[in-house]
Amino acid sequence: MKVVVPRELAAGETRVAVTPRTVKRMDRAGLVVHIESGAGTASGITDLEFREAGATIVADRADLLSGSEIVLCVRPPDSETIDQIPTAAVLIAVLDPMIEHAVVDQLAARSISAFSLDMVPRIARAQSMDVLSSMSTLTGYQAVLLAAMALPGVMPYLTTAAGTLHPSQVLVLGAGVAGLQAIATARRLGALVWGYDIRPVVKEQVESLGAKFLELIDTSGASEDAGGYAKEQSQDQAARQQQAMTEHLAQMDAVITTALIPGRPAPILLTTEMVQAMKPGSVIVDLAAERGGNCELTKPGENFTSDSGVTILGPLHLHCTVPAHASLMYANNVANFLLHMCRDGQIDVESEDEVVCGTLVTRGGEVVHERVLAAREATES
Amino acid sequence: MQGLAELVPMSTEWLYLAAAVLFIVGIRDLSSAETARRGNLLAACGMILAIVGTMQHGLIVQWGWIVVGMVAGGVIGLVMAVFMPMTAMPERIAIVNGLGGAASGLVGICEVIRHVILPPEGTSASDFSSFHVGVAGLEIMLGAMTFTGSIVAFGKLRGLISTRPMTYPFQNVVNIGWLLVMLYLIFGLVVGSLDPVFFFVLAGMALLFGVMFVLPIGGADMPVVIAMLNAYSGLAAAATGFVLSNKVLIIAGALDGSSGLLLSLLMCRAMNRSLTNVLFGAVGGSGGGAQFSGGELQGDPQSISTVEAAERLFDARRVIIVPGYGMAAAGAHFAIREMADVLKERGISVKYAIHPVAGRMPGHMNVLLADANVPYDDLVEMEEINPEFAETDVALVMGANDICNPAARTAEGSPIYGMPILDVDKAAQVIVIKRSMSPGFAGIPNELFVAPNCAMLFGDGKQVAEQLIETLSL
Amino acid sequence: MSTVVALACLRPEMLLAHETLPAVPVATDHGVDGSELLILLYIFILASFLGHQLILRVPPLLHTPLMSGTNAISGISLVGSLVAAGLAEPVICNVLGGLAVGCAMCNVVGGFAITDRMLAKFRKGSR
Repeated sequence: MKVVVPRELAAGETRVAVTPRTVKRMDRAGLVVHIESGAGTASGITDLEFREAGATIVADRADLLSGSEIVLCVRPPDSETIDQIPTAAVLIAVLDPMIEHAVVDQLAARSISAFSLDMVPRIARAQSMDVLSSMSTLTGYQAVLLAAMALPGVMPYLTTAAGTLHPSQVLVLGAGVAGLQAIATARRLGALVWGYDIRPVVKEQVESLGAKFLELIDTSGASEDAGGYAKEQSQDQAARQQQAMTEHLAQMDAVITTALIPGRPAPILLTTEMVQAMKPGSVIVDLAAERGGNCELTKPGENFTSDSGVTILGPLHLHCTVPAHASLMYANNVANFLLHMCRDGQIDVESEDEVVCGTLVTRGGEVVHERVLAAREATES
Repeated sequence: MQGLAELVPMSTEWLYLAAAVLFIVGIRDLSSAETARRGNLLAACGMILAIVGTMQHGLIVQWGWIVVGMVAGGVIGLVMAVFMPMTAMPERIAIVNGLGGAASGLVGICEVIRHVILPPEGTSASDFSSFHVGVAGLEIMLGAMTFTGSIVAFGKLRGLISTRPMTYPFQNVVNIGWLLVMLYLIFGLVVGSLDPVFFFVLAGMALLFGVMFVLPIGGADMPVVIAMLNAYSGLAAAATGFVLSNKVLIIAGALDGSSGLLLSLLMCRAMNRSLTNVLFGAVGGSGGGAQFSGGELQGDPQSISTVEAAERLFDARRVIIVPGYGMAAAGAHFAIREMADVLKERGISVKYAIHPVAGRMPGHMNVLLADANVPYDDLVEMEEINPEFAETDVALVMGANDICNPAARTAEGSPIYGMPILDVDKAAQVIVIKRSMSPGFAGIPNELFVAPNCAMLFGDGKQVAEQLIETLSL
Repeated sequence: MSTVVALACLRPEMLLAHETLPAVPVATDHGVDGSELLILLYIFILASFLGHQLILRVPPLLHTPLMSGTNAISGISLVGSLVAAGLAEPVICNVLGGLAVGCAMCNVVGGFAITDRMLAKFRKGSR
């Protein structure tokens, strides 16, 4: 089957959906790989390296896409590109289908079988295909570096002849993959780290990294749903927690927020008042900026300093700042998923395998994914 | 006994003294790894002196039987020591112990025959003092039960006899009753109310008692049993010493008896159980082995103590450590690294197998092990290390579960089916350090835990690692 | 005088057989008398206590070789077996005694050899 990798056109996107290693893996599985010229440049991979791995480099996009049977992308392709994809082809990308209805519709209209890797079921054997975990690992790490650079001081505890530098206090809100990685990174830099999450089970995980778990008030009731995600809190719960949190925030030098709800805007964890309670010179890194942000003051894609002296960073697509590893991980996720589906060089989109079903968004001209359909109904009603 | 003692020349007594000293010094030397081998040698020399001293005994007039016995016994003993594999260590100790008991019992019977049943001219049966009768009786009883008890222990260790405790209701009552009857027999023989043929009845009962006593004890507890039986054979020797007024017998027997008793108590403590629980606990289904719930696993997991684990690590040449979330939660990474250092000092190769999804976040293990100063070179990723498990002596799994569950390979329908795992079960031996048999993140039981080459070491990861360090640093 | 002292280390019956003695309590039982028994008891108790103290100092990893070593020492019953096997008569005692010698010899030789093999691996430092 002909596998095609176009260059990512979205502004600021530095990743590519294949690496020379994954090209070799696909080659061994009997797939023929064509890559658009320059696709890997932003990630530091040259056309030559791809060629040596066994791929064919194609300069013209239309040429590339014609006759393609499987298309590998990072972000959803733009509508012009979608029109060039043959009908009934397979597309694997991160589509954000719960929100990007237009893209999904266009793909359905062309009867493309689209798989969105951000929908991969979070079960044990699909972990190697989990894009969200991969990228979160990188953003969690980068967030701490951003915070460190934005801080007026250093992170670790240093006793010197010229005075004692007290360690920075870092609070990480949300202990998912990104949060845990942020905690680990901040610890490596020597900061005093607290982690917080509304799911109490996370306490042990936070402590296993050597950080302290911030105990606010007791949250009764299950706050973790079947998919391992945090459930949205009631308004009352949220208000009480905010108050308790504000007291702690006053002592923090850096706060990193990572709270996301699948398919919905990000929850607000830091209100304007809470930010005002923070020290001047402190830093907020809002990793949920893409979804509106966990902080009321966040300006997605911008960094600025509030009136009270708090620096608020709202980075978008932070993983793009480490393209070499981001591409490595993403390409592996894609290859693992593709090769999982691939039997004797063929793909069965009708497969009942849990992983395949859970990831398939459109097929045969229709949207087939349950949660995507549910999200659409919710927005329509 | 009168006959023996009067013909012991002075030189023999001095040799006996020297032998006793060598035994004491030998055992003392066994308390340190550097001098242990020398200590064994010294004790052996002591034994040689005791033998030489005995050769001068006045009563020994013919050498035929002695030579035959010594040559045959010596050859068999040497062959057994050299040719049975090291893994069969406890079995060998069991057999030779049993033979020692048999020797004591036979000597007791000899004495009974010689002085009671067929007394030499000039003496009569009543010349054999009541004290001697009593001690001879004890000798026979202890010797016989040690003999058969050791054989049963051997059978259990070899798997010839079921390793499960074989119990029946009121077994402890029966056993104690049996013992009381035997003691009564001895008493009766002492006061003369019983015919000497009852010595043989006693011997028969004691032979049976050895079997009855050991059957209800689980196979895993055999080392404790062997220590106890060792103590009994020591006491039998001491009893003989009282009979013959032979001081080296008393000293050697006392050393042996007290060491056997103390060792069994220490071993029980290391297993976190009391001696009575080990010896009598299986009856009635209470106690007798660590309690655990294996879920739907086929078979029971084998549980070992920290000392046994340390022994296995000690003997290994290649060790692979498999860390998991449990290690992180226990904060055991520093202790693990220290333990690995101790192993490396002995020339054992130690590597860490890092599964891609070990822990609760990507790179979880890396972060912690780096924090503990484990060199990056020692960390090996899954694809690279999997082929090495087959050549590994011990795989030490610390707090990892799903990532080494063989169900992922074969059990379709299992939540982890299809997930690549670490081939831990391919190692020669697997030791799993875990707090309990609770399932991992995927919530399913782990078949690895009941595999024949796998043993569970229950406890908190950090504490267990620290204990291992202490035990391994001799 | 020294001869008497030397002979006094032997059994009272021997003294009776060879010399007259100042009055020494002699038990009516042949063999063990009260004071002799007392001495032997002292020895037994002291040796037991000594054994206890010695074992306490042995580190857990050496417990198995210790068990094997003391097991070999319990083969001291060889001493009794040798005499039984070497008696003038009865023959049954010789046979049983010979058997006992064989068993005890196995215990002794096997025990020390096994212990030595176990201890061979306890070398400090790299192998």
